[in-house]
Amino acid sequence: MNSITFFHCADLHLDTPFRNLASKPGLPALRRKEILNGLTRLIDNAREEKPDFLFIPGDLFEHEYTGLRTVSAVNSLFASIPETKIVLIAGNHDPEAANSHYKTYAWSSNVTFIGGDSDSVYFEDLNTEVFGLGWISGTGQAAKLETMETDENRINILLFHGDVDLQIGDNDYNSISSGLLKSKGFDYVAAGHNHKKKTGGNTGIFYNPGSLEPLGFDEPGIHGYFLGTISRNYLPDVKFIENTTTVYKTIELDISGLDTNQMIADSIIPQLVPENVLYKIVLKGTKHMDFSPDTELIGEAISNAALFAKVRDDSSVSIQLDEILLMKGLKGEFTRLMLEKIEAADEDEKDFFEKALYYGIEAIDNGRIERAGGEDL
Amino acid sequence: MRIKKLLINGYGRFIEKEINFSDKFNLVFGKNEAGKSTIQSFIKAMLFDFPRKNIDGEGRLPDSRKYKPWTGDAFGGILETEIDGGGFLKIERDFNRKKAAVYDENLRDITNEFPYSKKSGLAAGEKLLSMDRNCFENTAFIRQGGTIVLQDDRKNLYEKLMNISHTGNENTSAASANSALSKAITALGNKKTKNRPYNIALSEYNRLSAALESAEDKRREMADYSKRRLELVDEINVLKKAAEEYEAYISANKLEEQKTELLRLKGKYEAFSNDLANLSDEIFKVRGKIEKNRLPESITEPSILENIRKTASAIEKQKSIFVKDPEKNHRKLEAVKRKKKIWLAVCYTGVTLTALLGILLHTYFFIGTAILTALLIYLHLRKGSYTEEDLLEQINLQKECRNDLIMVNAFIESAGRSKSESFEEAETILNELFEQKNLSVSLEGNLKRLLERKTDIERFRNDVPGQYGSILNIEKAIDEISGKLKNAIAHGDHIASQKDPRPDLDAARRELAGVKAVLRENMQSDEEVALIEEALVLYKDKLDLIDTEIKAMETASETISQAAQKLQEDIIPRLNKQTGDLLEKITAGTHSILATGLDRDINTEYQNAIHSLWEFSDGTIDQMYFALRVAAADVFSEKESVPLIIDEAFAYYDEDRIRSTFDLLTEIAGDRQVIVFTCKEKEVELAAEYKDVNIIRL
Repeated sequence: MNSITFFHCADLHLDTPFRNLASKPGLPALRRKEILNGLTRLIDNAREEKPDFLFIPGDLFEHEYTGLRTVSAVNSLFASIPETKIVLIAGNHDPEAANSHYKTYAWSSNVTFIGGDSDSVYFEDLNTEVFGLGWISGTGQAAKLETMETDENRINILLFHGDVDLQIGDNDYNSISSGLLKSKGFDYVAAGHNHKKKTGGNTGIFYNPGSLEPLGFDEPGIHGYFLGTISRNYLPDVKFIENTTTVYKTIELDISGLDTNQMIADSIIPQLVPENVLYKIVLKGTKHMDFSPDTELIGEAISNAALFAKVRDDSSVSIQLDEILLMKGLKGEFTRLMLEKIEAADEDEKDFFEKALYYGIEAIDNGRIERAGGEDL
Repeated sequence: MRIKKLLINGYGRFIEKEINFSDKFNLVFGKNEAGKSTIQSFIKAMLFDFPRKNIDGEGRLPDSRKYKPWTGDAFGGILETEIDGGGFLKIERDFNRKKAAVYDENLRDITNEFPYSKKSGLAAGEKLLSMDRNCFENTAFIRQGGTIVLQDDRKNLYEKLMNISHTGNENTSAASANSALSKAITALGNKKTKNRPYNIALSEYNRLSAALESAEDKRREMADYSKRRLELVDEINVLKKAAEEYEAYISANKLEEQKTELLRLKGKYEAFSNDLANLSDEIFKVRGKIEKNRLPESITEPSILENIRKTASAIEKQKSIFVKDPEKNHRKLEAVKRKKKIWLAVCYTGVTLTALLGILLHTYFFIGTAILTALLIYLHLRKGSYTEEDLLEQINLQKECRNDLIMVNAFIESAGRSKSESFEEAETILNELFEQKNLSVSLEGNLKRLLERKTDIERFRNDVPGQYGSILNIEKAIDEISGKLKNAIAHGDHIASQKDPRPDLDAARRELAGVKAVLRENMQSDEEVALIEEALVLYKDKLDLIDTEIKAMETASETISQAAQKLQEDIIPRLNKQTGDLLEKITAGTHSILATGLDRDINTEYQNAIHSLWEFSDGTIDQMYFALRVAAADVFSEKESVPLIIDEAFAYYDEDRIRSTFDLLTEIAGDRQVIVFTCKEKEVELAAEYKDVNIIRL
């Protein structure tokens, strides 16, 4: 029986900007370093396990942002495991192009890039043929699957940057059909692109480890990579290795009945742990018409309780007819008009009109606006 | 709603104070500091709790601190009311414990039917009157218009009138609200301002945009450099080969010489190698011989060898004795002893016979016998060459020799040989061993010389490659030169027609060095593009936020204007009408219409002509203010009638005006409760003239 061992990681997006963490100086740079550290840990493990292959199916880099220093560091890591063959394809964030690092850098001899000029590379010593479906500039190469032919006497592996059985906007997502995939005789599909882990799929061979390090609040939990064995004519034996040190977590807090920024901060703080977790706090529930949580102030109040905590206000104004009736004259009339506008607004415009409501009430009640746009006026 | 009773447990100066109100006209009299304001504050606090702010806009102490009793624990009380639809409510508050409760006419606790929030407390008044504290104050409370002495006071009163007529609230105006929004918009900044949050954010945004563009250009440039490096490496490899071929071609002779020299070195090296091989063989053989002739370690000890040699010499000397049969000497000794005995017997017999014959026969026999005896003794002495002593000595000597031989044999056996039985054999073996020893010494010396020679030759051979380092390098160089020569010959014509590739090679190498230097330098100072973008995003977000805030404030401002317009259209005409009616009553028909409009002026009809408010006396303006406030209380409290609480509002009224105002208030009290606070005895006197007036003296 012919078999090989492998590591499979994807979607590192090295040097990607972390716009959603930009408000904390130094944190985005730390996260970028953590991605490289994650790869270093993987390589350290590979140095011990000595797998035959390391598959990285695309988005190793964030092309627009990756500097040569990072490329050089990655290449040094690759060169440090000469017994492992590293096979790369391009993703939509690091597409194959004239200025692609895959094309312009002098890579270590154990690195193989499968680009658009060839469908596959055959590794004779391991009787393994690795196929690639990556991205050339802005276009996924999924359509090439139709013409790919495997040799049943070899182990056949497909490196693929895209998703399977997506019905919408296939071109944008580089989608392939599981039926076609099944008919092609691959022993393992090493996929990337979707940052959420997928094991086996309905073909039993489609594996996507998700992003090596979580890159945003829509990627909660522990991330990592696959380690496994592929044997000809058998389903792959795959194990997930957890590799993350920092995780993203979203906490929803019902602020109904909480009507000061401090009360909200006090409710959040006990739920936070100080290290290795990046929080998004979403304020839910209802708020009174004359109180709008200041997310910036709340963020400052809880900033010492966590590595990072970003507050978003998704609460809605509690509208009670009695309350509107309370407001006679200009305030009442203004509130009624604003509530009509909020009611009629699209979901994404409601925040804007709520903001206008709060400013109007503050102007009417106090004759001045004390704070706007995060600035004391 | 009508306030029936106040039970003050503790509030300001009042401890355990009860005040009962009638449903209609109430007049509360008290000198200054008697507690009129305290009662008004108590009513507001019982209905609405205390306001949130600790210090009001003008820096005064809040009521929660101002009216906290200095003595006693109690701070609170009970307010009993009757509501319009019938029904009774009792509101009880303990401000110390921040507790509040509401009971119905059956004293059932109905607190949970009222809204509550941590910030605002129990909203009893809100629920009851459908208005907040602010609105209640503006609707129910009418205070003195102001001492209109200065122009600013007139202006202030005018503003209040305008505000009520436009917004229903004397402290609220659409203009001031819009002005606040406009100021905030300007404070945030725009393209025309300087050093405002908008300008600071925009300036940083522009700076970072330029930095980002530059960093991206640099990153692209570095990618081009990286690509160029790969191209140059390929180019150099091609040029290098071409240059080598070219050089080989143009320097074929030199190459030949070089090759000859290399071959000579190689030959010399190989000759030394042959010598070394031969020497090694010889050394191997000598070592074999040494091994073969090696004697046991003990034997090679010189002292043992010397002793053996001495023993062997001793044996050599006694060889003749040694070789004889030792038994023979013993037998000989026995024979000698026997012979001696026989001879002694013969001698004794002859002597005896001679003596007998001489005696018996003749004397001559003595002579003959003596001669015979002497002859026999002589023969005995002459024949006996081995004396007994000699034989004993020989036997002892032989024994010693035997012992020596045993020792020699032990030595021979220890040298690995078979012991010898004979002296000759022992001697031979011993000689052989000595020869072997001598040979071994000689071989060791030989080996030493051979090894020294080998070391010398090795050194000579190692010196041969010289600058080439090793024979492998010489061979490699010979191969390379041979290849070059072969190429030079094979491609001679082709190379001759090409231009010299070496300048291009040099240029490519120089360019590669430059590219590498640029890449190296860049890698050291490689600034993260992402870092700039993140900072940029912060300022972009800030600009977007400011933009959104400004738009939200503009929307708020527009909506305030719309609301003001709507009030003008829907409510203000009713307010004006009601104010006009009231004004007519309190001015005895002198003024009948109060018209306010968006032109920010207030007019009244007087003597069939429209006059501006400013044309009238302060007292008249005060009356107009009063009329407007009373009308506002009516217009803006639609759900539940709010008590009209009038505080020292008639300070500058003359008796006629007070009387006509009391006429009006008596009329109003038919629909809503009226509570007038005054410090003027005159007003008490005038009020006493009316029926159903409840006068309360503090």
